[in-house]
This record gives sequence, C-alpha cells and structure tokens, in this order.
Amino acid sequence: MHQLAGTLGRKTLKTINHLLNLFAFIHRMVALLFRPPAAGKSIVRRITLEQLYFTAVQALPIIIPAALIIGSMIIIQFTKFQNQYDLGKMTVLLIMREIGPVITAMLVILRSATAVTIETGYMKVLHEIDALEMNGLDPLWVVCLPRLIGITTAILSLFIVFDLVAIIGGYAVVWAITYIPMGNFLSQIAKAITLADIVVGIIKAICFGITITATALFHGFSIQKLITGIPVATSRAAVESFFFCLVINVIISILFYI
Amino acid sequence: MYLLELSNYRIASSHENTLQTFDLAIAPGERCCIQTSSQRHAHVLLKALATLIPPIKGTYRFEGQAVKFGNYRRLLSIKRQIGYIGPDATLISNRSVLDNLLLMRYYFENRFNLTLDDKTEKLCRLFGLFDQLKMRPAELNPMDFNIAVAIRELSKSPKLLLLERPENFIGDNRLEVFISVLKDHLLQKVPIVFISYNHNFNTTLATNKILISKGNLTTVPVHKPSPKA
Repeated sequence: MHQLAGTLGRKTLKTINHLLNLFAFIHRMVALLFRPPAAGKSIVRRITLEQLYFTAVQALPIIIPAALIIGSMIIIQFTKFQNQYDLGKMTVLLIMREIGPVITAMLVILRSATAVTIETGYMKVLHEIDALEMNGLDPLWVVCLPRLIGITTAILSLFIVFDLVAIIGGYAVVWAITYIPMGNFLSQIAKAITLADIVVGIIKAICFGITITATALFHGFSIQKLITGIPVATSRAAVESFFFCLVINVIISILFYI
Repeated sequence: MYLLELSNYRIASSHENTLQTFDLAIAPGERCCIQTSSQRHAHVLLKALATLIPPIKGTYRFEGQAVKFGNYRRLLSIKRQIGYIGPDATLISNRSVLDNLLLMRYYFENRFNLTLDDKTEKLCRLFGLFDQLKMRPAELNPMDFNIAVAIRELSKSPKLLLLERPENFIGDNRLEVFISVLKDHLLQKVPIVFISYNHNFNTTLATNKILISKGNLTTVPVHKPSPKA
C-alpha cells in the first residue's frame, strides 16, 4: 500500500513538474513577443514564413480532402437522423465547434509538431543549438518563436479552411452524388453561426497553436545526447499535445457553451 | 589585464576521473597548449572555456567582468566573442554554407542582402571552399565541412580562440595554411588555447603549457631553444 502511494505520489509530482516546466517555457516564448530583441528580426520573419508555408499551405492537399470526407459523412448521417430538421444548426454545432478544431489539431500534430520535435531534437543532439549560441543567436528567439507564431497562425487558417470545406464542400458533395433532400441547408447554417462560434474558434486556434508548438519544442529540447531519444520524444510530444488539445477543447466548450 | 580568468573553478561531471578545482588565467596574445594523457579532460576544459559547460562552483571572468551562467541570454554576448573549433562545433544543417557563414551578420545587421566580407572570402578561397558555398552542409565532404566551421569561427573575429585537435579537424594537408591564418590572428593579440598531437603545430604556436595530470591543472611556460649564434 505504501509502495503504491509512493509510486502515485512520485508520478503526480513528476507530472506537475513537467506541466510547470511547460508553462515556464511558454511564458518565456510569449514574453519575447512583448519584449522582442532588436537583433534578428529579419531571421525570425523568414523562419516564421517558412513555418507558415510548411504547416498551412503544404497541409492543404491533406486537410481539404479530409474536410470534404468528414463534412459529407456528417451531412449524410444528419439528413437521415434529423430528417432535415435543424440540419444546418447540427452541422455548425458539430463541425465548427468540435470536430473541425480537433481534426485540424490532429493533422497539424501529425505533420508539423512531429517535424518540429525531430528537427529541434537533431539540432540539440548534433550541437546545432550550441552553434547558434556560439554565434550569439538566441535559440528561443530564432528557433522557438517563429515556430510558435507560424504554427498558431497556420492552425487558425486551417480551422477556417476546414470549416468552409467541410460545410460547403460537404454540402456540394452530398448534393452532387446523392438524391438526399436537404432543404435550405446553407441558409440554416448562416443563421446558426453566432459571434461566439467565431470567437471560440479563434481562442481554440491560439490555445492549440501554443500548446502544440510548446509541447513539440519542449520535448525536442529535452533530448540530451542520444539520437535514439528523438523517436521517443517525438512520440511523447505527439500524444501529449493531442491529449492537451482535447482537454483544452473541452474546457473552452464548457466555458462558452454551458 | 587578463582576458579570461577562471578562479576556484569546478566543472560538473558524471565521470570519476574528472577535472579537479582549478585556477586559470589567459592574457591577450597568450598561446596555451594543453598537455594531458586524457583527451576527455582537454575536451571538457575547452568546452568550459567556451562557456558550453557551466561550472558547479567558481568564477568565470571575461575581460574582467564576472559571467553569470544562470541567464543563458547574458552568455550569448560572451559566446560570440569566442571561436571554438573542435569536434562539437558544427554548421546549421538546413541552411547553405553561405548562410552559415553569414548567419551572425544576418542576425545582427537585420538584413539578408549581404555578401561575404573580404576576410571571409579570402579564407574561403584559401581553403578551396569558395565553389561550394551554395551547397548544404550535408553535401560537403567531412573535411570541407570542418573547414567551413573553422572559417565561420575565424570570421567572427574572436577575442579568444579554442582549438581541439586541429590536425584531425582540418586535415594535415591544410594545417600549414591554417597555421599561417592563425599567425595573422596572433598578430592581433588573440589568445589561443589548443590541444594538438601535431609536433609542428605545438612548437610553432605554444608559449605556455596547460598540464593536466590526474585531473589537476597547472600552467607552465614553454622553453623554446634559443637560436644558434
């Protein structure tokens, strides 16, 4: 019994310590946004654009088909289940508020967060972070912050793309390939969207972006010497950031919709 | 005045055979050759001098100012004044060699439309790297990769230069050229701390010896044979 209590206690302390370290890391990155160093702004701008291009633009060929499939699936099921009554409202509820953000976060984690952990892990193990520091460059400023801004902005953009494609594209797919009557679906959607949905979307994007980037970078920087630590850290970062996103999603939904 | 002073200095290590607490002072223009039976000691000492390994006790003074290791940002201004050429020194792999050589200037001058300065261009031509500047570091052969690292460190105009086994890092065939480049730096009173198993390198450059025996560090001057009359 004592052993069990000891193990539980140690695990709890370890988890709390990890969360506090993660918050401290986020605080250091976000503080740079408000007190940016004078040097290196052009490098930060360039890396931010590269990250945005990788996470948002290059993800479109994956996110658009995924949104179309998920959107049309949901619309087909709701037309059967709801018998067209409040179809637009149900679609907004499910796609815009819950499924869209979570699926987008998952795709960003699979594509970008893993890449960020691997990249920073390699930079750490191969002494590239030391090389940056030996040249007077601040790794937090030139490695972390551009990824934070790039990924957060990309998530916000991908939310919009996902929602639009899932709702309008899904509607178009169902209209084109089935004979399911959908009534005035688009006008129902227009009526169903509230200002809160847009605000919540933005808040979720910012929270997910910060969480995903910070978790990915933190695990990348935590790797000490062994290159074999990189796959372990990558897997941990991916699972952890997805779990954090689910928790944040629930908290925000409770705060705004209950 | 000393450029670098380490007093009552001890470095954390998980190894049993570690460096004991030591004092070390390096003056401008001094050329210290490390002699030790354990290359790990030399490696650790050089990394400690480069501020890449924090101490567990003691004071690190650079140009008379005590350096605080608690805040890594404050260390950056010290680090950029130290040239470290050794096995742990590397290039940023997702940038071209040219970008690597210009990285510091991109950062501090805040613009990208830069070209190599005369000194760096001369070094690139001297070591045969000029035609490979657009390549990624992974495309270079290992010796050229190391040369690129050395050029980047030399082009920083460091106030202190740390070299670990330059004959291995740069290659025996280019060592003479490298010594001549270092002599240019010596003319500017840049102190050098190095470990080398190349006799010519040691005899040409060393004015002092840092002896490390069983983890204890002592400094002795090198007695050079007086020229025959």
